[in-house]
Amino acid sequence: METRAYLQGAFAKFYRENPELIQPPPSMERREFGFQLFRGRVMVRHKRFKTPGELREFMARVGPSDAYRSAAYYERPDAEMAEKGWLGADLAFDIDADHIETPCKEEHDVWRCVKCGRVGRGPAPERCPKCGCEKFKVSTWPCEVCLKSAKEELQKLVDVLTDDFGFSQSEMHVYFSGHRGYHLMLEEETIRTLNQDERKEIADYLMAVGIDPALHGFEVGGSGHIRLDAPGWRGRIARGVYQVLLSDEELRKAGVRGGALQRGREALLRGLEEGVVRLPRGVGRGTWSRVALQGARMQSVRLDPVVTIDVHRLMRLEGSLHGKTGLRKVEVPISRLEVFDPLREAVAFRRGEVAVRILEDTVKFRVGEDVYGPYTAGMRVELPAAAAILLLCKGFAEVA
Amino acid sequence: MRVLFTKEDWAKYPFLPGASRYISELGLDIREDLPELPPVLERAEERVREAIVRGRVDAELREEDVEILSFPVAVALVSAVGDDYLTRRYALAEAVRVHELLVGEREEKLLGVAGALGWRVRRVEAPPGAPAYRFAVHLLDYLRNAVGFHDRRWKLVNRLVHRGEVYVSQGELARLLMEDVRRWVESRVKPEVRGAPEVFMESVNRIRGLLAERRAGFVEEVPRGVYPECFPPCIRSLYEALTSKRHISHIGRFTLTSFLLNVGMSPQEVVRLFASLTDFDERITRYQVEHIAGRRGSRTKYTPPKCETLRTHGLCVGEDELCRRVKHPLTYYRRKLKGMKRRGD
Repeated sequence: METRAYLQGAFAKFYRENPELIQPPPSMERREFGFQLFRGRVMVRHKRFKTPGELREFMARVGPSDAYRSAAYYERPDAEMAEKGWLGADLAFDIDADHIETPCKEEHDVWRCVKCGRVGRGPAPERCPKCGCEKFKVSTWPCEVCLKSAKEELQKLVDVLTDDFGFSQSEMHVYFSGHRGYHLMLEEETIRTLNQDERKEIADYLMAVGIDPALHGFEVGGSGHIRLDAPGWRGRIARGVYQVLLSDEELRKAGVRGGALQRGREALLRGLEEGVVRLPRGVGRGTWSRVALQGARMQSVRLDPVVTIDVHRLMRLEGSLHGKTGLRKVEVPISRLEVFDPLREAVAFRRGEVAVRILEDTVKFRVGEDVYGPYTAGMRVELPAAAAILLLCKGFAEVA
Repeated sequence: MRVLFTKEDWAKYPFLPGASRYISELGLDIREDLPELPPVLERAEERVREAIVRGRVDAELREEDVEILSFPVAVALVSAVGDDYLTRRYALAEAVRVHELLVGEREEKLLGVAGALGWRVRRVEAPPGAPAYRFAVHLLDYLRNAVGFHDRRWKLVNRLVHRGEVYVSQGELARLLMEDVRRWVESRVKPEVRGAPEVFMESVNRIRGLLAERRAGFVEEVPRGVYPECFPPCIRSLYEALTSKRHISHIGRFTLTSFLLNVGMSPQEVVRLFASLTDFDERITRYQVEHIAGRRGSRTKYTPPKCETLRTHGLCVGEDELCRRVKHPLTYYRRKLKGMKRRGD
């Protein structure tokens, strides 16, 4: 049986048997819905559903590989883009391991040049080293290290939204995306009409884009009143600088080699602890600014700014299956973030076994409680449905 | 916090709700009674003239009733002229006047004005290390007004932001309020003036004349060899925003400038175009344009961002037929130009 047809059938059956797991967003009749289909990899957009029943019936019938809904509210969600009548949009944040550097990508991410077929591990290069082509088929992997680093970024995001922007955690909805990251949605009414420029300021704030440490007191000849627990970016840079000063590697990244700053490290660390920073003699403006910028970088939130800025963005539908994994997008209460295990709690297919033939060498991976692999190309294995569907969705295997 | 406003305050800040209440209590119908009130119409026309000629309305205080009444009349005059450029210039000129008055006010008065405009703002003790901060402004009130400012000290990431509030000095609060007033005045100008008395229409015509006179001096023409009809939709939209004095983001101005330089305009011509149409400081504009042209700083000659980047920044206004086949605004221009020349247009 063809793999795509199999997956479509499995997804449709899942939606048929678990319609209540599909959670339409608030004011669903004002949202645009979109679906990626297994067949032909087509995207269907500009759909409108007025009731949860209609939406669930559609998904059970079609079995889309991915389901999306707009963060925006429209007068006419089913009209063409220019005719929709934009009314506002929730503020959305997307944190994805794709935007975070993790060492394990070298092990589990695979790229293949579409022209010459050359295969490599880690993030895809700009050009194929063999034929110079710029197009690749990339296969990433939702590994535990990547998922954990995404969770750390999410925690940073929640902290800034709470401490700096004053949103309460009850207004924030956090979701595991079903693949390699997390989404955070703010549905508060007053922020719906923020325009793109305003949203960009918010994204830049989170990512420390355009930050000038001198404007936060990190300048030669400043007052020196810099406390680690100061609010906003002032304190955040201070904590980042503290981290940088403790690490030879971070100092190297900041371009500091030997010199006055190295010798004055202890004094600077003590100064930060006490809240009064005296720069050691001989530390110039350039050095101090680079250290502060490196500190800011460490404290910044690595998110995909486009998702936050774009007011017409489609977001993955809550509760739906991710076409690259067969895992579900599920809500995670912020209080449970620490203990949340995406590879267990987002598992959708919990029954039955599926025989697959391995197409590409896999890493060792975990789904639920069990660890699988590594498998080598050509093997035929019988796996529990969730593990098998993960490999099928990823293109690492086909239905045997 | 409630602040009691006096009649003098309404003369200074005629956008306050109390001012319009005062006018309706006088029982005057501005349209009908205008012929009986020459000083009001005179001052109203003067407000608009000052806006055109000097870019700011005089902040000197005259008779309070005249000041209060002439403001809505001036707005009606601008509405009747029905010119986008004038609307923007007038709104800015009234805002400059308000700013001039606000910086001389005590803190309570500033808070009162902000409150009357619907802002959530409060007085705060200056945090250590940042002694200049006097006020905490609600995040959304700050963003709405500061987002158009270009200096990096206004960028949100360079502010003290805490628990949903942005900390600002007294001068900064006045500047933010000025921006709100500018947008407010602009929103009051509506193209519907009916049954206006003759004296009013005479005034409108005089303003039209002055505007045309001033306009003649503008360099709105693009130099020879540059074909605006071949600009891609994104550049055309930026260009139109510039000529009608709408706000253009930093990246938007960069895109437009680098585009114009790359299709053959000289830095001087670009500076002249900007300076004639906007309030940009000519010296700063020249510096920036020359920088993009590669005559300063890193000596890199910049090209405009590619389509994908423009989309990210929301500058892509929608594709046309040719857009779908190119990835860069300059490619669009060259192809269209080639096509036009081939057809011998």
